[in-house]
Amino acid sequence: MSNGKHHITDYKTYAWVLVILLFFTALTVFVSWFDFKALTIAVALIIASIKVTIVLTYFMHLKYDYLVFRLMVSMVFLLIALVFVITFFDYLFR
Amino acid sequence: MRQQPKTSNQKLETIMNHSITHTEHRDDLGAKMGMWLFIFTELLLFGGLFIVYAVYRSQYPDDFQIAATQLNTFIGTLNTIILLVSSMTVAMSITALQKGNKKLTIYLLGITILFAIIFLVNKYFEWGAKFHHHLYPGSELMLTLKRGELLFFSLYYFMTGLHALHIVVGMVILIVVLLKVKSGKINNTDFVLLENGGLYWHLVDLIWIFLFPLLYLIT
Repeated sequence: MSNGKHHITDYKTYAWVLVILLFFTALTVFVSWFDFKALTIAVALIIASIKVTIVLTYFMHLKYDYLVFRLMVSMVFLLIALVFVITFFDYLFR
Repeated sequence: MRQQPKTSNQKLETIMNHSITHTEHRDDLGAKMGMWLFIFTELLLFGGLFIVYAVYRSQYPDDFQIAATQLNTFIGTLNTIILLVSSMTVAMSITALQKGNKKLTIYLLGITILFAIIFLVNKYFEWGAKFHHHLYPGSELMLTLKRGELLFFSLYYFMTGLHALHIVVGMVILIVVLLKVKSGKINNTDFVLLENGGLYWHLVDLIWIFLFPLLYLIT
């Protein structure tokens, strides 16, 4: 009986995902030793976003799940980003 | 007239038999959807805190940088690695159960719970060292700090504290899931609870992925 989508992910895939995540963790620590001035936060956030995307896609099974979940998650992150932008419009231009 | 109740009874009986053998009151997709909706509320909760952080950091950039040097980058990195590995073990436990390997599932969930405990122990030492240096909310030293530094430490304690609370909750959820796998209530045909427990644990990981560079790695 199929109740929802069930895709079996290999152990190997998960192990590789972990290796990639650890690589990005090392990278974000390494980059923090340099000063990119205003770009420092941007670099840290870009790396964090890549890591989060990987976790959502593989560990949280979004890749193998229904499209509706991917859409919903994208919407929520978009919403948070929008609130950030609107808040900073207020703080930077008041 | 006499026969009618009998036939309707028989009808009821067949319906009941039918429902007992064929209708399972179960909606895995709905359960997962509910879990995701809950995760969204958590993301918005932490999202709000990140906005507070972003605004104050933009207003007191220098104070934030000075205050952040007080944090222990080594413990922060170690805890990041612990959470990533535990995220993998909980994801693998689903694979193990799908393949019918109950023993490995329990083993992997046990490791994940162990990692959660190690995370909290690290947090205890991290916070303990700060308390030892009189850096804790409401301490006299904190009140002498500059406004930006005070805000940084307040946010640090609140955000990592709320996150640690989620670790504790995640641990309890995983223990319940482990026991249900053991009793066979969660098995390779019905494991949405394991999936949802896993999702919660990954959420804890997601939040930490943002917390780590923003609190520990400002130089």
